[in-house]
Amino acid sequence: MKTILEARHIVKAFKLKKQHLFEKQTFVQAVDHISFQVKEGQTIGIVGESGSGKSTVSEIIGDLQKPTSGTVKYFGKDIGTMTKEEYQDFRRGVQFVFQSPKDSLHPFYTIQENLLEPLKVSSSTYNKDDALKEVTELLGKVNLDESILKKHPSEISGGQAQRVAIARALLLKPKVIICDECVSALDLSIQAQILDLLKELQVEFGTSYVFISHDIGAVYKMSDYVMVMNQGKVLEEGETEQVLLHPEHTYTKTLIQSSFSIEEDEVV
Amino acid sequence: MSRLRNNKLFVLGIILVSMVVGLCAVSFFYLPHDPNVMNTKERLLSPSVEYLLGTDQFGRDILSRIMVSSRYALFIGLVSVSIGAAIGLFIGAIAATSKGIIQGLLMRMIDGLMAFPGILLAMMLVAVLGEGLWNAVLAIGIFMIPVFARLSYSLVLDQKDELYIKAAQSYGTSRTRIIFKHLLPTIMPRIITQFSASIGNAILIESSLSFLGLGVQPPDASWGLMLSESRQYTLTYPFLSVPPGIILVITVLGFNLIGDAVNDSMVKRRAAA
Repeated sequence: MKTILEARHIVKAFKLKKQHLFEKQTFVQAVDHISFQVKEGQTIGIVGESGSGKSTVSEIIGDLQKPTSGTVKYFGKDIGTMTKEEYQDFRRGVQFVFQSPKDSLHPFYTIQENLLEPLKVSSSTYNKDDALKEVTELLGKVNLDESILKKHPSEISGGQAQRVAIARALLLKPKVIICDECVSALDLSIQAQILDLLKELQVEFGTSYVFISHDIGAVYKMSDYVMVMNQGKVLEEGETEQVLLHPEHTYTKTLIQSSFSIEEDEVV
Repeated sequence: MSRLRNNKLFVLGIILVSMVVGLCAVSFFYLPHDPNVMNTKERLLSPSVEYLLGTDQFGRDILSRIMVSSRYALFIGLVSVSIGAAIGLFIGAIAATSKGIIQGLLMRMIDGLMAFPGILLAMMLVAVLGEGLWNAVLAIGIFMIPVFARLSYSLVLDQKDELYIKAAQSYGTSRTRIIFKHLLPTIMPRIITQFSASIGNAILIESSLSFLGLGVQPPDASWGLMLSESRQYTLTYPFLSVPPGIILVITVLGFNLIGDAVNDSMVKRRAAA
């Protein structure tokens, strides 16, 4: 399988606020030497509790944040040293679906304007009729009705908004979609629908996912490969079944136990 | 909007401003008398059917002069605030989306500008640039920059880390497009509020400058100039200062009421949301 996106020893350190002027500057390592590869058509899951650095990793590989050190490569090319064309290609190729779908859509734009914007930005031969045709076609794929186009983000439900966000990510025919806690803000039943939808779309378009979540159940359902993160470090990684069904690290075991015990409570 | 219509102060503001705008509009088609023609036989007349607001020390019709000066007041108010808002918005948005030195430099410049009391800054600029209408416009425009720069800076700073901006970055939107297409529409309502409130302020500064002889020059009429000229007659014919004083109060109050009401309604909407 071809490697699409690769992170090599990425580190992100944040400066801590100094207590007094002459104190030595101290840093906190949000991400500590993390390396992984995103392969074609595969889903890599990153699981860990809040504050473990998952989101920082996702923003670094999507170039929304610069790493303190380390490199991110897209089809073998370092995104820091890309030419303008190559970088645009990378921007189209890597898309995000964020945690709170409504906040990720421009509040003053209609859904139609929100969906046309990526096409306007990335295409030099933008034509509204063609673009609209593409948008409507994709809406069908994420099971949304055309009538939603005229509405504003505040007028639709969270589940609908997340479908719109997925459609927006798919519009540019990306190679990788980074799902950063993309179902955490949704109801359980809607969560399942969105996860199923993502799986179906993966089969149809062959997109790779980077699936980031604190929800072990969701990661288990989605991923082929899993990394368990805590305090900026990867504690355990491997094939999903191997890691989540036969965890070796104590942290992974605790994480799994805590999530399972909640589910058992719900059954009762 | 419906909440605004129920706001009595907003309605009052609209009525006051429409009165002045109406007066200004009429002045282009009809004036009771020529505002600049002197008539020494009819000096300092009390209001009558012929001269609705009486005449001044040179026998000029006060109503006509008030109507003509409303053009200057509204023109200077609108143009100077537009200049200040445009430049201020630009500086604020650039500063908020930059980092380090550029941000610090721009905002410290604005702070420096802000440290001057308004009328003093305007006087200083007019002293440097020279007297006259356009220089007054420019001086007031420069005075308006810091308010808009600070406002847009804080609004952009507040919005730029929102998820929808991150999303726009993630599909490759350029910084210029993000500022103009994504950030500006979101912060525009607040800017418009400030715009309306600033017009009243600008008109007041224009009047002060003209009062001091630094703005509109005689024989052209300006409310500030009329007030200034009426000073000599404070004891003998005090009515002379009443019409320009009242129209100034009406205008400034009107714009400020509108600005306040719109601002309040937005604060409420934010709190409700």
